[in-house]
Amino acid sequence: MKVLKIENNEGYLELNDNSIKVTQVTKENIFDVLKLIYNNDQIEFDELTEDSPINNEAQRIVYDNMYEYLTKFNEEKQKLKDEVRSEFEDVINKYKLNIDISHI
Amino acid sequence: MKKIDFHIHTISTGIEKQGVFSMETLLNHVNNNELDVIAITNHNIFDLGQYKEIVKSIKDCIVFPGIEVSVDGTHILVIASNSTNEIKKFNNEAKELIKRIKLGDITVEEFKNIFKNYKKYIIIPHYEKRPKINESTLQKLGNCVTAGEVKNQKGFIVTKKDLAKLVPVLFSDARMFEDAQESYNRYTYVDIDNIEIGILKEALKDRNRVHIVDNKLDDEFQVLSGRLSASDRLNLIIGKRSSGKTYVLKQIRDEFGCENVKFIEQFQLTKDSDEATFQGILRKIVEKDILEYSKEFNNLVRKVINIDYTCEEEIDKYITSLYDFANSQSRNNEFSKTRLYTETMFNQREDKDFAKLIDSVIYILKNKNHKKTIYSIISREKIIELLEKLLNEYLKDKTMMYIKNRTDEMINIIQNSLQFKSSIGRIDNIDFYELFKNYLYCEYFNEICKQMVEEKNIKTTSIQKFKIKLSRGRFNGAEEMKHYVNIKMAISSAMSLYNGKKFYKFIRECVNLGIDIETVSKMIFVIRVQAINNNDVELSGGEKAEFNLLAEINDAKNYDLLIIDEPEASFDNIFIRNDLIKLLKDLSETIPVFISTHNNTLGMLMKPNKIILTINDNGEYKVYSGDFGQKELKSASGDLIDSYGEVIDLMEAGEEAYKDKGDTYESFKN
Repeated sequence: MKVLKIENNEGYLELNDNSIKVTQVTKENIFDVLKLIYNNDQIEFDELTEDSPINNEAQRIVYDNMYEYLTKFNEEKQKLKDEVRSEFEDVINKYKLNIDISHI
Repeated sequence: MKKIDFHIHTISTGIEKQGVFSMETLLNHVNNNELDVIAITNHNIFDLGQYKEIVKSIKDCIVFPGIEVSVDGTHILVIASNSTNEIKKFNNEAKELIKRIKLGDITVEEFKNIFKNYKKYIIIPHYEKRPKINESTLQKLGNCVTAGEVKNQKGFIVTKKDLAKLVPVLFSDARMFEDAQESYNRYTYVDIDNIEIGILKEALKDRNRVHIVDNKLDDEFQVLSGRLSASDRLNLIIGKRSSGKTYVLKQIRDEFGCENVKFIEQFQLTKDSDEATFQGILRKIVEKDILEYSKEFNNLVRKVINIDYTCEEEIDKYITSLYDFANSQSRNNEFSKTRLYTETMFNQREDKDFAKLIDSVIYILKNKNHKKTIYSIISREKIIELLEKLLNEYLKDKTMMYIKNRTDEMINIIQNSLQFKSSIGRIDNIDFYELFKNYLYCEYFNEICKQMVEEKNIKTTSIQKFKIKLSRGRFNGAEEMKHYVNIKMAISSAMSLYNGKKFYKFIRECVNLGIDIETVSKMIFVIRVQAINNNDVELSGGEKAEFNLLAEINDAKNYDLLIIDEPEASFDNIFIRNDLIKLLKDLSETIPVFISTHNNTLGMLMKPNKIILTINDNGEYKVYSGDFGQKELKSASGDLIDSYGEVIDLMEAGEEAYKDKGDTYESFKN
């Protein structure tokens, strides 16, 4: 699943089959993409390279910054799951609760 | 036979409650209890000056020098000879102890080093008494142990019968302080004629020469200042109204100390059957279960309550600063164009599990008990190799983290400096990991709470024929919640969040209202406690009284003595015959029981070990006693009274009434 895409020299955030230009992204979109990354194992990002550039400078800056943060979050999500699991494990086991920490 | 008390405190050392020594209290203790020998045994201190004063003040009673030493988590009484020469040596050893004890309990080895003459002393550790000596300390002490101190009469009797155990001794452990009101009834009789340390020591090692009554009967002990011998099992107290039964029971209670006696007063059980009191009693019984059950949830509330739940705000700030920066590129300058100006931070996170993993490998390496199994699967060399690799990686990680953190600091400084020169704002640094973690915490907390407020049985425990059911569920409104956690303030603003299942916001609102976290953690779900009978139906008034009695008798096992004053008012004869008598008999195997009654079913069918008869003789209370079934009962002054006549008068309203009753039943049957 691709969440950051470069197409026709423009950067997009891919969310629920919608492509949103990175300069149009709202805080809700960011929040939803974080959930998407957390819930899915296969996450892909288009990297900003010379072969696939973004012409508009402002858009390039936004894309580049989002790419940095979102790829880092993707790399760390398993660690996050482990951390959250260890925090809630006692309670879930003690009270025999039906809660899946790996998805939200 | 000599009556001794080798556990007496005269100095307030901080281990016991505070007080000021009173010679008068000590003299009263010795004289009122007709003690022949005592020892002064303060905690880790021997005051020679005070000891000499005491010896000078007390007549007709030998006083030995002693000390109660804190060794390996227990207390050991050490009693020395009272000869001048030995006192001097003992005093020097006690001075050594004072220097060392500042560092805490001493070991057995240190004990033997400090008390060089320990083989000559009487050594008595806490045995069936807290803080109990453990088996390894006892073994290390070896043959030098003379006897073991026990907590109460029952402990003495049980320990004495068990030949594998130390010879028991029972002492007052009394504080001789000003305004002392306590009485103890804990002494030991030793079968000796001459009072010398050597003779005493030998006698105390012989279980046939120690007793807690002067008549040497090992299943009896004395009450009412020695005027009455009671059984260590079931004692039935009978007497007419106003003959002093309750008075005698209270005297016995006071002699043992209120805190050591379970005293169930007349009508108490029916009084306790009203709903509010009964709920209180029920909750007290399951208090530990409730605490145990709620522990993890309470911890969770404490963990999440301070989480910063401003996730959306932070993302908004980040997006705004990012767009502002991107759009300002037309105005850009050399400062904002610098690559570092827009560089994101590493925000490196520590891997908390890594250190745990290394500890676990070390733990495996250190384990001795299972080393054979471990090394049969993986060699020690391989484990060491793994440890080395992990340590290397750990070191690398730590180094990387250090470098990345320093880099972040540096980027931050540079970005600040550039921003100072540039007219364009910086992009806010954002940590999606931390941000999302907080969000997850709140979401999962809500989900957990949703499940915790679903009705569910937690546990059912049985108390004889009754059951206590614990269940959890949601609060039925603010009033129930406020009553449950005992708060009075208005909580309507929080309740709307609770009703809307916004539990995280609910706990935050409660804290905002000024409710402490401990209380807030109890406001998500209610634990209901219900007593039910065999048919799973809530208890009637009569059943509640029965339940109360069973619960009290269960609790009595934590005491030295049980006293029940006329319980029959609350119960029918079926319960008395089928349940109560068996329970009392069982309990009396553990602690002595005194029960006063006018009920013939209870009095006669329980077949007590002793009968105690009280008579009001023109305003003077007289007490007679004897074994059950014995022809005559005897008073302390030696007066005899017909046992059968008195019992049938009190239990059956006389022989004639008893026969009449039998005849009536007979004709009824026919």
